[in-house]
Amino acid sequence: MTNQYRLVQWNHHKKVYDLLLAGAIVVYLVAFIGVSAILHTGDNAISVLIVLIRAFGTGAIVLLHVVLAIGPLARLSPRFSPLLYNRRHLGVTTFLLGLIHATLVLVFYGGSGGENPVSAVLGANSDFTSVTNFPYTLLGFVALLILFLMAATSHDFWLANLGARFWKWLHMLVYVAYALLVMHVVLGVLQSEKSLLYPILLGAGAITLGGLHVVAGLKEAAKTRAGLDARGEWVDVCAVDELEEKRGKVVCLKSQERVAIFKYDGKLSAISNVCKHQGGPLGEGQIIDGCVTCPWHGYQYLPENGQSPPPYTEKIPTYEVRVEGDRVLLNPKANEPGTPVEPVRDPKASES
Amino acid sequence: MTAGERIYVGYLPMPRGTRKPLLLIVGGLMWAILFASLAIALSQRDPGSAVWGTNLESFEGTLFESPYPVLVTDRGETLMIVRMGKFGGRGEGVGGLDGRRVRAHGRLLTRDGRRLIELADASELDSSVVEDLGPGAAPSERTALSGEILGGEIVDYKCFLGAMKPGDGKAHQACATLCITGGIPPVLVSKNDDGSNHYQLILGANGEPIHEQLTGFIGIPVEVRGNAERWGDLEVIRLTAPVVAVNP
Ligand code: FES
Repeated sequence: MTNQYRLVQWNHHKKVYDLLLAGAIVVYLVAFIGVSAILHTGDNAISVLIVLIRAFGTGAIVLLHVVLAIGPLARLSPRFSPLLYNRRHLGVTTFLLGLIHATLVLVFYGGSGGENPVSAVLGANSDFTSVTNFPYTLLGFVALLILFLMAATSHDFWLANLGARFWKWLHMLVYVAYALLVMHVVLGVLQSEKSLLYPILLGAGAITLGGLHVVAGLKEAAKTRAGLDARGEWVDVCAVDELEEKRGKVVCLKSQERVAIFKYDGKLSAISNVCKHQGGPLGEGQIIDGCVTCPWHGYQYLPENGQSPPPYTEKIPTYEVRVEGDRVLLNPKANEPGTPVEPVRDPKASES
Repeated sequence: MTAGERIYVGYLPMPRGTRKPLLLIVGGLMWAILFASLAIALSQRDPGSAVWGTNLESFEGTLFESPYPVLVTDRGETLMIVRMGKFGGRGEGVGGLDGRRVRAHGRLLTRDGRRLIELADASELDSSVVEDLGPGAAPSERTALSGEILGGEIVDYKCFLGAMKPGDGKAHQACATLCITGGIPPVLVSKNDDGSNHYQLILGANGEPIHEQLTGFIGIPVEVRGNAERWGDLEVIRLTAPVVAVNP
């Protein structure tokens, strides 16, 4: 494992991404506050702080849906992968919206009394067996803690230092946070807000997210099932012509990691399909400046040795390839990460 | 993305073919976010018509300290007395004035024709917040009412009369609990046949304050058992059994 990580480059796309994100949040909040103010006026006005509590709380949940949808969408179509590029900021923003919601609750509902606001808000009841009286504030609190943990460790520094496995496990907790938040709403505010639209929206959100994950998962599973039998020493992968110049091909092998084969400058090389960063599909990437470039966040690897170009130190497994006639053959046995493998010549390229 | 074109890489200029679908996706997302905001905001329930006055006013009448401080005007209207923040009216300024005619200074909270005085902060006044004017009138007459089992929601009188809007419901539970344990009168709000609110001050079997025992039953549907009584223009219920939460 490496202790190096890539500095977050503050580039044009990230700026545009963040601007759009800020714009979306402004649109959400302004529409929410505006509608609340126009619809409930005079003596029937909703307290301003309560409108804000609701706007930030619901905004966080809406954004969390977007965060959770991007992963499966990017697996289903590369058109969505630009959204992955800066997803970290979406997650951090979700946490911040939730934090503002919780702070307003502490000040407004928990403050100005004879008790510490935190215990007032978290301790108003403790009937875990009741639906109407479930201590729903605890659910929101735990979800916020999880979002905090994820926001705090979202930087690649932590990915590198905590180790990819632990980091991934930690970030899977986002699904726990999502479930807790759904229950926070159902056992909390929906006990008194009776509009049918709320359960419908929550249900639609859950079904959409669940559906996307299932469809993306099934698609991946189908690819794995259709994978090539990797028991022999060499596996016939495809015709040389099927490979596009500077493009990759993902080779699915039965019960093994996938392999990415690339054709470039009259040569063929094969490396692992799994990006060291967050497991992005390298075979769906491209050779740019002589390096295999991950379609998710742009990590790069040299095709002939699976190593990131200096100063980076990531290494992924390499594979041997052979060309027989017009067929490409792959040795399914992975080499140690970073092992140099002499690229094979593309016979067609040498002819022309 | 067309064949031969570069894929999208965040730190490189965006390829032409990526731009259009991405614009569509981002545009769609923006619309979805706007739709969610409008739909959620439009479906909020009406918090009810209640007013928290901003002007300092003076009220005259007879002060009764127990079970919760009230001021009964010459017209027989009972005005509950509470303090700023989440605190009831008992204590400083009010103590020792039981049965006396007083002038109290504060702000009005009003809902459904019911009024409550939030005592002014002493620093806002030249005189004392509650001035003693001499001997007061006798307490209002008390009569028994029918009705033993009642369903409704326990709220704190101050928030429900306009300090918070909405001042009821589960989201407001922590606040109402804080108010009630702080001495603000707990009130059972139920619905009359015509849909209007019915208010009953909740007391113990002997007419004593029991706010400590209500924690855990505030801001949710409950059932209470007790003897209903009318004290002047105020309805109270003296509980004869513990409150129970109503689950679906
Ligand atoms: S997964 Fe992030 S760059 Fe490959």
